[in-house]
Amino acid sequence: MTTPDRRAFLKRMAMAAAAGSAASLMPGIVFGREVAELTERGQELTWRKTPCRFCGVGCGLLVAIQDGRAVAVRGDPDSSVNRGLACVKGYHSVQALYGQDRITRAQIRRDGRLVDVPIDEALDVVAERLRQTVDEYGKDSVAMYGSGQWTIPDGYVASKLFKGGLGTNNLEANARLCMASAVTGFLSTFGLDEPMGCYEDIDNADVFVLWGNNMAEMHPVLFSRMLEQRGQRPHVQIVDLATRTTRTSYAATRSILFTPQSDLAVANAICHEIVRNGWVDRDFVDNHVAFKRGKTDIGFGLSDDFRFVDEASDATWEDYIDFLSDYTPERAANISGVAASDIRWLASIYGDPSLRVTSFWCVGVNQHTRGTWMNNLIYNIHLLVGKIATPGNSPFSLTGQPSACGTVGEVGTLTHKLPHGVVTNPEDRQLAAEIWGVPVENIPSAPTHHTMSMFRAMDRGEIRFMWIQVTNPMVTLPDLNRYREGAEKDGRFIVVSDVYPTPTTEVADVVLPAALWIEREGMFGNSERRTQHFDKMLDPPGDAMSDTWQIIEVARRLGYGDLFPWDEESHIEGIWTEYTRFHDNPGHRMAPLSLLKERPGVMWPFVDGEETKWRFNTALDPAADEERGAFDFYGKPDHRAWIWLRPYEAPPEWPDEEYPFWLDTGRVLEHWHTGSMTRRIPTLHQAVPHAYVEVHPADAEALGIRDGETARLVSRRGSVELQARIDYRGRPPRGKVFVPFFDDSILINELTLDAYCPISAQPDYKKCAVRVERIRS
Amino acid sequence: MICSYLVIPEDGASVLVAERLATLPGCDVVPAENRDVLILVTDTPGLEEESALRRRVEALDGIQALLLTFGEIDPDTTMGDPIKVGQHGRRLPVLDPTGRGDGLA
Amino acid sequence: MKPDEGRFGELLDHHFSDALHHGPPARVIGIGAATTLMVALVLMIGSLLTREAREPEHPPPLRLDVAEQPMTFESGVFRLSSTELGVAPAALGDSAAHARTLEMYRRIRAYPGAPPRVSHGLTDEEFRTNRCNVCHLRGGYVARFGTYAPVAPHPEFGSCLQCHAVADTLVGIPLPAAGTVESCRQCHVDPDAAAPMFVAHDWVSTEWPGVGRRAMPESPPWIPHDAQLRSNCLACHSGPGAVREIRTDHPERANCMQCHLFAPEDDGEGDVR
Repeated sequence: MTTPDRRAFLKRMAMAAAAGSAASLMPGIVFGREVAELTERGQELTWRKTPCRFCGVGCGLLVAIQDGRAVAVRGDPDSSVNRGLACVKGYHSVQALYGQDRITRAQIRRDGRLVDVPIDEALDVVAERLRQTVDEYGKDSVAMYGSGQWTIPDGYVASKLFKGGLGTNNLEANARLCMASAVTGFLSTFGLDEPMGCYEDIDNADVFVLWGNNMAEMHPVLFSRMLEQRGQRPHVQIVDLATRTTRTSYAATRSILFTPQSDLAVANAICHEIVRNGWVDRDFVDNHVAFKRGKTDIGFGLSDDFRFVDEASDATWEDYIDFLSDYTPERAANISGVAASDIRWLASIYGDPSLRVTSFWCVGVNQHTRGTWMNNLIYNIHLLVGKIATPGNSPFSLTGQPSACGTVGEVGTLTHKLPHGVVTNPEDRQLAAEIWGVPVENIPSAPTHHTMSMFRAMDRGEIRFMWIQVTNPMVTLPDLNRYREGAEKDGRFIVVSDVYPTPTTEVADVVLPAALWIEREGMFGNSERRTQHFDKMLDPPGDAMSDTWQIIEVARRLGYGDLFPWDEESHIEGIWTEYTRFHDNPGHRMAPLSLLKERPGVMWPFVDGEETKWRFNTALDPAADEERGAFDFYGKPDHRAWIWLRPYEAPPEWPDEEYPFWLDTGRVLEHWHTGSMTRRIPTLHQAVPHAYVEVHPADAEALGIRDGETARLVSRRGSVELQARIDYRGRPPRGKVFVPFFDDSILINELTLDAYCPISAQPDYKKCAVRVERIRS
Repeated sequence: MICSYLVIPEDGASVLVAERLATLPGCDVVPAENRDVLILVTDTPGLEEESALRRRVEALDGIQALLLTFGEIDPDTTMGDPIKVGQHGRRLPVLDPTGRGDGLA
Repeated sequence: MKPDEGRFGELLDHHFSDALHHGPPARVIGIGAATTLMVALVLMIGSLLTREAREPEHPPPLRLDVAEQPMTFESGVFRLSSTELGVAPAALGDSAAHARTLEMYRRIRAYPGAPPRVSHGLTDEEFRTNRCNVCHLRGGYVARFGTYAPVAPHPEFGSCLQCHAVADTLVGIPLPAAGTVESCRQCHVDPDAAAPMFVAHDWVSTEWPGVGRRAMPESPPWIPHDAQLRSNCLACHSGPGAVREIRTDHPERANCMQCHLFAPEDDGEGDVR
């Protein structure tokens, strides 16, 4: 006879086998305690869901936790973003938690050296210096600078403390450097931020046009989704429209190169051809589009006293036709170097009513002294042919950071923003005051400094205290020498919260050890309006503390404890509940926390239990009014999307005899931003151990530089020495070089120009003039 | 004989199916907390009884699919080799509008 | 700076109050709302029992809360079977000195289940253009390296370097002429030696799963890992390019999961699955 023990054992085996099969079929499935205990016995390895820590694609990952450590990663098959695939950064992401030089103790600078102190002491000092600075120099002398890698709760408490408590709009985030032009593009064309479509556009489009977007390296999972579509539907085309040849170009169906800045002319010429050939969707344009003119010759923000406000004035269809007459394909070809026949071909793609077209872009368009205009112009193309807000027809602005949309865009951690609306709007201020429980007078009605202006104000001494979280401006600011010297001046007090030492912690007076990613609970918001929650899965090392909790600790020391009544256990839930009150309308309603914990991510607007996949489409968007026809662009007062008459204007600096090369900067697949995390991951570091300069073979030959030799790059602002690579992972056209910015020993931003788009205030890291010198041994 | 199955109920029938299964002799049911899937563990004297029980389970309303995940006959009680998964059931025609099926559909 | 933003909040609120009275509009498109993939998965993993009474109707598609998923267990096997791979049992002879071993297999992975690093040199052109599938789609003998190429278990993906890192030292290294391979270092460069760590780290992963574990003596061994992106069992477990210790001796049988089950999670081995 079978013993009871034996039978019980078999039943446990049977239960575990079923649970195991279920988990293989449906990762993330949870059974009750009984099964959990059964499957955990002798196992102690659990898979937990999280969005990836790195880019704005927002891949769902499953992280294996064993004995209190993250030990493995896989793509979350339940995530509709990546469907189980990740990229080399995601797969190795957990290794970033374990660099031996993690900052685990708070540090205060004494006699020029950072020394370890108890974290409470450091938080006391931060609060005391902040209070002293406000008392002595006024509330606008203190500032906070965060990032698109802030979680949503981080950004929310920062906004509440600075705007609601301290009463200053000196709050900015590094997303100003990466997606501000996308925001102003959205707002000027549609009146509402963030894409109308979603990644399912990839499954529906026939043609993808990538505007200056090396997606094979920067948005690799989405690029693989496009390749997969082309594999399954052979008519699908990928068009790479770029200023250098990259892995994306090699994989694309067609690669078209253009001269930096000339995308403005190319986009207008495409519209010219669409109109000339009668490919305009008249019904759509008549019912859903208005024409607007803005200011022209708008400058570049190079001086400290630069101010700019755009003004929209009405234009007509005839005005627009007249405007476009300047942009024949031949004229655009003269500006851009793109063959007129290629421009006509592009127009025919957009103009063919049988093709669904999705345009993707990211910082190539946004880091542009006419970035807002370029966003407007891509929307113009889609609006002319009515290819928008339907599956596969999508002008799709991608973001670079995991929560550029979720935290910076939606929470509004920018000088002019509030969690709902803008500081200049009395109703928005009133709503914020009500939810925050502060007098409305606390919230100042005028924006103060955007990012570049903020660092210039610190250089001038108007800002005396700055708290920097989750970002590394002493690597990323353009014309870096000026801003580093500004931060190091006497009388400036810099607090830096980070996980590893960086050039920014080098200028810090106080360093606060931060919890990294899954060492705390939080949410990110990705490029397609998807909010993604992650639990705390690991204990942070030493005294490390989440950025959210650091801000709350300082706020309490400043006497704002009432604004942050939550305990450490439940503060994320409390913050989410309060924050979502700002968006409780059909245009932006967000999912409850319980659902966010359950799913890999949920898109907003989340109305009546449904995600809204295509906004402005009256059949799909609960906020859109069906009486307005198939589309309702309800972000604008006239319920129309606006086509802007935006001309080509030359950049502020371009190659000349003394500095004969364009310099383009950017990222590589293996490294995230300034490399402070990915350089500590062996596989990624070994893949790209140092920055390099990519040179065209003919230029290299003319300069006498061979592959692997060291070259010197010199601009009007600085110089660096680095290895030259010829036909390595990309090839710039003749007369242009490319340098990635991840390497803090080769600070390429000492060479870049701090010119910015006057509408978005986003700097242009893609265009300045340099000279390349051979270094003779 | 001890077997386990994954039970996939029809839409909205999860609770009902769990209740009905629990009333059958020798059946333990554990519903998933976040999906409409149940684990069914059966404990029967032998293969014949297991087959009979399985037929009773199959006859219940509200069950969309039953997937055998474990089966072992206790060596003390009977009668042959452990059940190999794959021995029971038929392949069903699969509706796969995605076109991404494996060719068996 | 943002001309419309000041006004849109007000307009939006007005609009929303209207919209609320309309109730939710009908949803015309439900893309991704339901797929039948789960049915395929269920089929793949084991036997399916259904009610006699339902014949001959099709089972209804299962409700999934995610969009279509391209992954199906074992699907690759049926697309790219042993016959297509040209891997008859007779061809299973050990490819002599150059056969891959489990130790090599583990050395280029950060943890069990991690995408492997590229272990051999690439020409500049290969590095730029992701042409890995020229050799890795179907495997076969590669004269340049004097060995057999392992078969990619997910050839449907073409952007290989998205997940598989290449140490900088391996890009553009001079490759040996065919037939002249004499030492490992001709093709393989130790990345640690060439690019020392930026900063030392405390990374420790989990144990590698054991090989050949099974429920009882003589029963088919368990599958000790998940099948995500590794749905074509034969790619890794058959042919001369496969790791020696995990090669099957019956690659002609393509329906692997007919006999091989995923290892139960409580077998005490602590696998990364």
